[in-house]
Amino acid sequence: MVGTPLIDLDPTSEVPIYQQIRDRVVEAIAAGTLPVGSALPSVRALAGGFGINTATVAKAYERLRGEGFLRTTSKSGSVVARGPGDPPSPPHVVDDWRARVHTLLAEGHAHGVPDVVAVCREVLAGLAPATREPAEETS
Amino acid sequence: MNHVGTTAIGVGACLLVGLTLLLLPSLSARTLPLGVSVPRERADAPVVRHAVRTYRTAVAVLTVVAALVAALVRSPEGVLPVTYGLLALGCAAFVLCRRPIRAAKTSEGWFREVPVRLTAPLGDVPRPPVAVHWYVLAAALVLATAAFGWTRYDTLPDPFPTHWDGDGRPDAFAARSVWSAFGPLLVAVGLTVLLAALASLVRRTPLRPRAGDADPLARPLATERAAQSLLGVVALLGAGLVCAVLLDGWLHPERLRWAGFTLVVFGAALAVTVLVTVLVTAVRSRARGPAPEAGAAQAPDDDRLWRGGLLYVNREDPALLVPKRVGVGWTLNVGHPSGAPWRSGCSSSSGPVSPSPSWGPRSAREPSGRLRGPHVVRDAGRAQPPALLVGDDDLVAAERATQRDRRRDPRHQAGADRAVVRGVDVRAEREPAGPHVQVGADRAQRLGQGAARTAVQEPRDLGVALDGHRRDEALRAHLLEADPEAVHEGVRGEGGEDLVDGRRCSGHRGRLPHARRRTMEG
Repeated sequence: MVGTPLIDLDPTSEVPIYQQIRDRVVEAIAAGTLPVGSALPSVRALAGGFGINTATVAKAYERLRGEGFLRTTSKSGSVVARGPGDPPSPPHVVDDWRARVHTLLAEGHAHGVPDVVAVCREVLAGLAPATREPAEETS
Repeated sequence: MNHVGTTAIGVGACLLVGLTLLLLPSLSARTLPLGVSVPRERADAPVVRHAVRTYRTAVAVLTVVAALVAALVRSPEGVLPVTYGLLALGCAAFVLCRRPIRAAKTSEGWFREVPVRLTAPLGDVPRPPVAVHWYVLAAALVLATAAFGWTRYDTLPDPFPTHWDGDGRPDAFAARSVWSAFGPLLVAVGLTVLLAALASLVRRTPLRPRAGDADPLARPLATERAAQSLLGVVALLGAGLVCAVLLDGWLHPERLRWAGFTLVVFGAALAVTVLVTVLVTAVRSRARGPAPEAGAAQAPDDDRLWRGGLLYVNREDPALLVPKRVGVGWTLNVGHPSGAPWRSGCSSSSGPVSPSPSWGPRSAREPSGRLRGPHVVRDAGRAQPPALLVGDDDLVAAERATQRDRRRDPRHQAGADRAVVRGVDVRAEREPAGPHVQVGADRAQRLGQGAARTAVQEPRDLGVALDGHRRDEALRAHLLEADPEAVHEGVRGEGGEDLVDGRRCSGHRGRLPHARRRTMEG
């Protein structure tokens, strides 16, 4: 792990804060900055870091737990449960993700983005080195 | 202690306070001139520079005057009031000088187009360790003094002097005992333990990095390192002072010989330490690395949470101690939930709120005594709120009381020019209103396009401010005096007409002539 990742929230965004926290954590997991087994700060610590209500952070963690990204251990609290190197999540989770991808891609298409596939490739290229690393470690 | 010593201490104390006040702007982030958050692009605006210059001039003049007064007073009792007076006046200058910056920021909408971010580490950041060696030295000093005293215990006079006057002659005695001879050492021990506890507490406070710095963690970590060494040095100096005075008493019971010298050495050492720490911090916290690019996100405008730029009040924030925005150190979150009982005690003593007859009956029916009724929410980016949080009970479903704006993202200001509505069930008589104003969402919602027909009432001249105090109330007047920027009221219609009865409704940017508010009888 290369230092502690700093995450940013946009307080003026339409996206709710808990959703932003959830998104940033998922991105950090995908990028490999939060490998499987690494502990997240406690709800109170993260809320204190931002100066936001603890309920907001708790809600984000709850979502992540529901999606299988986090699990709770008695020793270190919330811990990253899965990463890009692990086998795929259950079918209903993947289906849900597909539905959202559908909406997002449709949105890009409707907006007239010239090459949607190129954008996808670009995003994936940014994640590629990170996705390989954990796999190499486990093998 | 002689007059020269007293004068030196008085003048020295004033100069120390004055210098600290003078250095305050240099110690704060560039984007926090005089505790006002400004976007990076405005950090060198003429109004900012002028305000800082005015503040520095005022503090310099005040310091010179205070030092002169301290030199003339010549009594030990006069030193403290003069020093505190200087501190109070310096703070007053601070609060006054920052106003033009805030006014310019508000009227010109400095934050309107600026992308803002809150930043926090998603994990443990290695924190500067407690400077243990200073506390060990302090403890060793206390032990050595105690050991020395033990060997000389039989030579100590009985009764033993416990207090000395300004000239170092004893004026109070107690029977010689371990307690009267070694008691003062407990003060040194207590001080050392207290400062060590504080130092370990500091390591658990949130870092609060500011987005937009080249290295957001550089400043908070530099500040913390400085605080750790400063706390340690103060512990050693404090213990040293107590030990020196005690030794003096043991060796020269008939008349203290070292008191003046000790105090001067102590004061000078403290001054030098503080100044060195301050300067080192100022240098260290300068962000290294490439400057952020022009359009990069930066820290949000959180002036709303800092009364007068100095007092932190944030009820959402779970942290009790937070880093100061101005200067070096930590400050209490005055709005912390643990202070709630005390606050509710204060507000209940100010009486129930009955803003105006049209809202009176509902307000009066609220048995809990909690604040119900209309509230104006300030949109800090602007002089006047574009629209407002609605509090008219008439607009609210009968089963639920009005909620105040409980934004969960408290370190930022409201969106640049959008209405923020929350917890209001809008029931316009005509077509069903567009927006789905979700109850219990975790943050304030903005009205979007779908909100076209929302009956959102603009609170005009409600006579009740955010803090729920009526305009003519004594406490309210006092609050207004304390910080007029913290409350915004007396909004009028575009044509200047008074809209007390709230007949006109407006939604997202503009009036909606068809919307009517729902009238509820009884």
